[in-house]
Amino acid sequence: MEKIKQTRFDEVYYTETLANGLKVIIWHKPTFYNSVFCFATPFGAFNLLQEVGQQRISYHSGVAHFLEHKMFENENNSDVMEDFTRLGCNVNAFTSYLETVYHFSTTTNNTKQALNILLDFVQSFSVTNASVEKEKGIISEEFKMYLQMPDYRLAMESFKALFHTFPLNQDISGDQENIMAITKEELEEAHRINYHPSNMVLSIVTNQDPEVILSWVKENQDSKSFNPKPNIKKLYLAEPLEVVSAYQQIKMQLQQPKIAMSYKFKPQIQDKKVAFKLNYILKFWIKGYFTRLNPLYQQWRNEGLINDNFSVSAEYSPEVAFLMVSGDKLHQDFVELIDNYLQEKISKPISLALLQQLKRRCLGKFLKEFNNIEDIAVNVINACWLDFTPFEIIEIIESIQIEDFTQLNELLDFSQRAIVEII
Amino acid sequence: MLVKEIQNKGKLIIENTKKFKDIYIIVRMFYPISQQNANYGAIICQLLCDKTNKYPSKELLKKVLDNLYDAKVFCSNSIIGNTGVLDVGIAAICGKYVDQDILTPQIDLLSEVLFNPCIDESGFNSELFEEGKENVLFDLLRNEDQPSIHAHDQAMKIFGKGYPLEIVANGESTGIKEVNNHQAYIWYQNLLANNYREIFAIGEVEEEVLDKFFDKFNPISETVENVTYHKPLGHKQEITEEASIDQSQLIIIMHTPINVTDGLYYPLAVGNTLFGQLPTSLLFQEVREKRSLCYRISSRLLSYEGGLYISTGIARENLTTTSELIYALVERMQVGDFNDELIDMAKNMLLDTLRSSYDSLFGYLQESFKILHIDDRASFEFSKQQILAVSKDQIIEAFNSLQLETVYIYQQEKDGKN
Repeated sequence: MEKIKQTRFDEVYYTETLANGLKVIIWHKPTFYNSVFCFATPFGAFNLLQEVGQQRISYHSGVAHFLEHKMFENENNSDVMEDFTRLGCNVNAFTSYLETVYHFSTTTNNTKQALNILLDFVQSFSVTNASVEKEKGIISEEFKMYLQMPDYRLAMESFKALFHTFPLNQDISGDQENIMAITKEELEEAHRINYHPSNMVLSIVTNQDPEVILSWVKENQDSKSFNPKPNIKKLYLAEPLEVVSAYQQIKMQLQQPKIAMSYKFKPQIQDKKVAFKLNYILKFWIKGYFTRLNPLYQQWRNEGLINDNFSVSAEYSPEVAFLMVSGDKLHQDFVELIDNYLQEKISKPISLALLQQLKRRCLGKFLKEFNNIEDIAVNVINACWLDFTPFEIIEIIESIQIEDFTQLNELLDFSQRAIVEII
Repeated sequence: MLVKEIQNKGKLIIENTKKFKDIYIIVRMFYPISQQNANYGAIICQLLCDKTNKYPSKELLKKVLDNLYDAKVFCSNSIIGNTGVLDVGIAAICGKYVDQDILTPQIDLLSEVLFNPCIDESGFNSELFEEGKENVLFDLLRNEDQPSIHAHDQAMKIFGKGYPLEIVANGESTGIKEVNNHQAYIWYQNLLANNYREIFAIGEVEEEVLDKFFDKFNPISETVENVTYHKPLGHKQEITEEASIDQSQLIIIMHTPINVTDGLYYPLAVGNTLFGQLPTSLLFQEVREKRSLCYRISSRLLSYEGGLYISTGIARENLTTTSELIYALVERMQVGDFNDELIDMAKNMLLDTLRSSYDSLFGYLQESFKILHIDDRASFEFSKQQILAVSKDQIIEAFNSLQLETVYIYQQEKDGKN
């Protein structure tokens, strides 16, 4: 097991990849009462099409999330949650577009038993047809719960207006039609392919001895046999450059109508690290021009064009690139003003002083994430998906130079725009 | 935790720990409860975080904070039991990680935010005041558009009618519109100068630096001790409101004469944990897992006043079934139809949650508040002993004190969505 000590931040972690391919990272936090254990697979809502060997497999949207719900069932049709609760452990799971993570936390000494339950239930599939059908009602209500949140709905409808095929156009839980169409066989196949240890990460933050914890993990994994490592390739259907719909109005009977204008870009950088850095350059540029760091922000506020609900977000990755401006709909000139300003400023880098200021902000944020053991565990997983070491992220951000901003003008073309209003 | 009574000036509470990378310093100012006072607090929260006299624009204040490595000014207005509370604080990283003194500028900036807000001849800077008021009103409108928040606010207003529970800490629209700048400014100056206060510091802090900071405050005459009260049983009400929403919201609030100061509080807390807090709870298992009626359902205690609050989101056609099931599950608790294993699970989970709270800065804040204002014995060890001593009979007795008082249903229109 390799020990990595980061003196700058006074942090220590241990890492080892087991014989079956499972990557284990143990972060040592001796001053905390709680320990958290996260078992993660890079199978999320984006993964609707995969090539495994010679086979091409497509899934209904929402399959990763549905599988997450059903994994808590035991062979004897009992609930795994009960086993954890009996040991005084909090267990839960979440599915994002990129991953599914099963996790428990505890302050008790029942860690070994709980760890074995986590590894065992995630690595076995024991779902019945009847329980799959029963779960559809629960997931349906979860879908409706999000549907009636105005800000969430605005973002979701904007993604639908931008993307023809890219899975961001679907909710993480899928939609009613897809949820109803998912079968036990589909879940089983998704599990067989995507829950192989060589594909997964076990991220642990604990006050206990990392050597002892690792020995428990090894003992558990050595007692099991696994199929050969699957060769998985993520695939996406071709996405046209054009948006799906340039304008759309959704009725929700809101007291405060909302608007989002979103721009779709062609992803042009395939290297994960280069794309990650560009993503931060884009975020810095947005902070420089579209937040309270820009004196014009206050002028827009005074003129009633925006209020404190105004926000600009963006994503640039090898798979997808977009920028979204959203807020309360207050003024008819909003779209024109923001659109013109975006196009005017994209060729202009932020100032050197502002870049230094934003780097200091990022360093502070990065440091504060070590205050929360759940944040540490999830950040470690995210770094693994990018093939980064946990501290590489801050090094990349600190390496950003003013000259790097010229790429934005070359890579971002604002001609593809979708506007969504919710009234 | 060190608690110091500062002569005539309030209390200083220091948790000196190396656990966290940053240092929190929070000034908590107490005010008498009324909707008008809460309205002032809600607006002032918006003003203090934005500008000061020395940093008269959002851009300048943000620059100072960024240069302190993402320091944050935070203001919050809340109602805790029978008191209003305005918290103003700054969190900044510990200087040793950047080889720089951060604590001194952090305290200087907190002094600036508290004692030198951006002002003009009207009181607070007029532009800032109008913007702050507008922000509160926009937030209230947005809350109206969130069915779960709307339902919660309405249910609390009905249940808490005539008591502090009905006060909305985020402000109330009509009252907010009527607040004038001068009144708000005088209210804040009075709060800062004369009201009871506590200062919390959590992280690697130096006591002497905080003593000096306390010197800046005026002497005060009042103090705030116990903040709990017993809300009397009101008359039973069931209110249904219809809207074009995707999922109906059901909130049930039951009255109990047991609040956090009473002997049966810990039995009620253990009972509530097994009734509606865990994945193994009766509510979760019977309503969600067995019948697939909802995605979320849980219960929580109104600990400072006395109440059990149950909420869920469900389809309109399942409202009656779900309500009846919830009442039947309360009855199961009242007749003791739950086993000892569930009680043990609930105790373990409560202890786990309590111990975990000491792993977060806000957890420390909450736990120290309990010690200062509810029971000075309320350490982890004391709570642990109380939880472990709870018996099944006590849980049954605590649940038999519950009486249905408020049902609020925010219902999907019949021919509307879904």
